[in-house]
Amino acid sequence: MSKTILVVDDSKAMRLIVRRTLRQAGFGDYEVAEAANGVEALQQIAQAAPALVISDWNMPEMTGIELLQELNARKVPVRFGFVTTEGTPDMRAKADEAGALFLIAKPFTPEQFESTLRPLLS
Amino acid sequence: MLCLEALTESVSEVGDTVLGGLPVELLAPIEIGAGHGAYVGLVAQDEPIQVGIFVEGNGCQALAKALLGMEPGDEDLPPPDVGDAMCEIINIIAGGLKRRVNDRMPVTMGLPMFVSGQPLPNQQQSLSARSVKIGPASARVLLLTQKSDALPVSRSGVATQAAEQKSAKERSA
Repeated sequence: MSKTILVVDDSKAMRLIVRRTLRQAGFGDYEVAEAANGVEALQQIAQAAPALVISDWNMPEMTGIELLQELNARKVPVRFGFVTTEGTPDMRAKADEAGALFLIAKPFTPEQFESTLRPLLS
Repeated sequence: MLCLEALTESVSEVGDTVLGGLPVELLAPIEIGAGHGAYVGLVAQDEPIQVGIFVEGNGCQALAKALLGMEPGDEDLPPPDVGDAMCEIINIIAGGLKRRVNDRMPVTMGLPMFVSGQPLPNQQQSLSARSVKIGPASARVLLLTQKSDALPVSRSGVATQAAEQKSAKERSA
């Protein structure tokens, strides 16, 4: 399995926070790559298939859900989940339907990352 | 009032979590002269709402450092990084508001922006605010909503033509 986690978020601050939380949650041995929107993420996923994609939902250019739908349309097999401010039941249902493996709502803790991501990465 | 309570709760949650445990304390209403604010537009029940946080002086720098896990004495962040961090803070606050009211009032969120100063309501809007201290930063959390007797608006936030025509007829009658 690849040892790269791709973090997709238009906020540089949030990419840094997700990177830090991954380290605090015990995933410090993974290389973390970053993309600022769905379009950039598509290019990076095509170049080097990451072990996991952690994406924001609301982003300019291409949203997180559009990114996941595009990956599905291109039949790209990649583990994919959301870290987003919006964790309402309808958004969780939409994420599930598109094949997302998790939706972690902000604000989040390292413990949430550990319990959610460990089963996917072991 | 429901939204303002939920908004204040959400600010406390953000202080406890992503801002590294910064205490959030309610203050008596204060006027803040100069500062910066981060705002995000929401649509709730077809009505546009602006949610914001307006912070005095160098408070945005302090909140941005807290968000990024930096120490207060660390070198100041460049303005674009402060703006980015403040947008993320209001984004998380608005997400918390949405989570708290969503079963009674479905809310759609827009993208945040960082500006100098605070919004002033127009004739169809009302501004409600609560003064808070977040760690070292004095701030006001703001809700800009449509007045109950305002013209109906479309999803884009623009008053609908039909409503304007109806209103004009009523005025001329």
